Amino acid sequence: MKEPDEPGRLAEEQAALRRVATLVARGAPPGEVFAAVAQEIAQVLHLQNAAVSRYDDGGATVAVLAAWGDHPASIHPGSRWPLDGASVAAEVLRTRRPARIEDYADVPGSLAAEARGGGFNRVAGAPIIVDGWVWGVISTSSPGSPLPDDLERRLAEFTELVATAIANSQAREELTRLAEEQAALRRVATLVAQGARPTDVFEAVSAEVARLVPADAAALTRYETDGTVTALGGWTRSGGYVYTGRRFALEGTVSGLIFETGRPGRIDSYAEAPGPAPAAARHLGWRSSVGAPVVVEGRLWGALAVVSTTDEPLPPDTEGRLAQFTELVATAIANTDSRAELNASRARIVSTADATRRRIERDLHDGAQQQLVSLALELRAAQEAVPPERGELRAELDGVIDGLNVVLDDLREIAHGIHPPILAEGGLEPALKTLARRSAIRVELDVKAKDRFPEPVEVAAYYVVSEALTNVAKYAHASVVHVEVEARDRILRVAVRDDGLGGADPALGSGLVGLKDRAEAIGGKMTLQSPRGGGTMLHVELPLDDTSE
Amino acid sequence: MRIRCLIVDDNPSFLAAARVLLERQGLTIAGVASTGAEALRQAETLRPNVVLVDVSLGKESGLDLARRLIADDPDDGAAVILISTRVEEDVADLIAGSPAAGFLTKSELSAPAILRIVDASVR
Repeated sequence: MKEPDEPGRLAEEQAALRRVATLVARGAPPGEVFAAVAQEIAQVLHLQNAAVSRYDDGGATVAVLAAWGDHPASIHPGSRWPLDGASVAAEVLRTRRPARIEDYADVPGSLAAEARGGGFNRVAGAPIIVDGWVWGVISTSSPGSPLPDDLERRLAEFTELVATAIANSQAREELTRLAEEQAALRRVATLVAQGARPTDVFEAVSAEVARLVPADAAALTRYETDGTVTALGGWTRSGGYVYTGRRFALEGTVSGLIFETGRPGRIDSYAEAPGPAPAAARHLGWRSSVGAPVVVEGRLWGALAVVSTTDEPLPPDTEGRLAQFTELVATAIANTDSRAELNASRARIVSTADATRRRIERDLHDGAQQQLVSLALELRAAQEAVPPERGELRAELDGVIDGLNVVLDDLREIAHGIHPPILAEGGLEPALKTLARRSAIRVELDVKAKDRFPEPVEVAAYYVVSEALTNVAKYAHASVVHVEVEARDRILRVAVRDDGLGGADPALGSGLVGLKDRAEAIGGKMTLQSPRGGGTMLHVELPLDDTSE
Repeated sequence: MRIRCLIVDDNPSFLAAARVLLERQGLTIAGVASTGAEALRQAETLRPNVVLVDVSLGKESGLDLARRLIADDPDDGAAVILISTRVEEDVADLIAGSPAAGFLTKSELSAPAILRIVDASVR
């Protein structure tokens, strides 16, 4: 009966399929493809309407994505329907095959009621299968006239194109997401590698992870031994995270879930959760939260969590995304710990060496030097007792006393090189004045820091100036050196500036490396500017709060 | 002027050697002390006119002691002379601003050197 129409109909269908295929090949957004499919199907198959819908919530609901033609008014793109009772959508999902219902008159369920209410009694549909899953359904309905017999087969030709479009765009979306994720991870990894302060790393991680998920807030917390967590850094969409440093109880939180299981956890709704934390969360407008553990060297250390303020639960892959970042966080923490340990041991080595030098200087002073001085005085006392006629004995004793004084001078020089006694006794200013006076190059000394400082700081500052003056005298051919010492904002700053040749380079040896080590060992830093022909500027900052441990 | 001297130093062998030498050179050694407290007591009772004070007095500061001695008796007090095993160049910045009358390196300690400083300070 349809024989005469067959060639023409086939040609029309092929043209419609080609148009949709072109859209798909061009990489058009899925929404555009769905709309085109609904329209083409309805027109080419001479149907009253067509719709493309997606199964959501693990098959509990179906969401209408595109609709064309006359539908019941409530079946519009964006509407969602529970798959209760019986319906073509439910049947297609269950059987993975096309389905039709010729009469909705006595069928229970929301969709059936809606179709009936709109006067659409007959419905048919075919599955959209993506990656082996029933992703959605293409359906059509009719108020009265019967649906064509071969409708399902012809719908199926379109469903394959739709499936391809979806697979394409999903792959593309996944690629984009992957690229974004990689970029975010790289940014954080760079921070970690640069040895950024942990707080900065925590804030960066929170911001990146919240943007990626996307979530409205994110924070990093550390588990304490008393069953609480401390917030170490965070990010909120509204800007400003005010909880850093605050402690919170675990009960009713995602951190609590993670603490119990050692695994990622989620709270999809704070609405019913008991306890003060969920109440606070509700107060802040938080609806749901997902978190993942931060494990540092095999030990559960803390948690990274994101928060949503919308009704929509956070996406199911949120846990996985968090996990990638928690690894970086763990690395940053392990780095910081080992750096702190390294610094502490460097500081110990430096301060032990300083203490030893100081002790040797004191031993020399109290022991050999004192004894020689006493001996010299005794000799001079003996000399006083020599009768005036024994001139040769007097002269002999003079010789011995002179010899003793030479030994004393030598010892004094040695002791001086080992540790400057004036530093311990008088502090930086007199010690630096002595250095300046002994310098071969003219020194303009400006010591604004008059206080006494912790011994390691004084010793480091002293050696910086001492070494710098030695270098200037040796290499710089300078006419004057400016030395400035200032204590400001709990930092002791030492600047040594000369007008010499420049071109100093720690890599070429010289004591500059030792100075850098010395400064860093007590948590300080050293910078050197020495352009060729432009003089040399050595700048050292030494923290006055003990940060080495 | 008859010099009556108090020597303050924490090293007993130096105290002994200095006493013998200076006495042989004609000075009177009124007493010796090895701590600041002892020195202040001796200065009070013995009324010396010269006090030799070691700059580094063990754990105490000889500079502080010198200040105390002079502050206790600003008008008619003894001339305080700082002494040290170190040479003057090494301690110059440490003793700068001290009210002491002068400085002597211990190995160059002698009655004439003390008299020179006392004379200069009286004048």
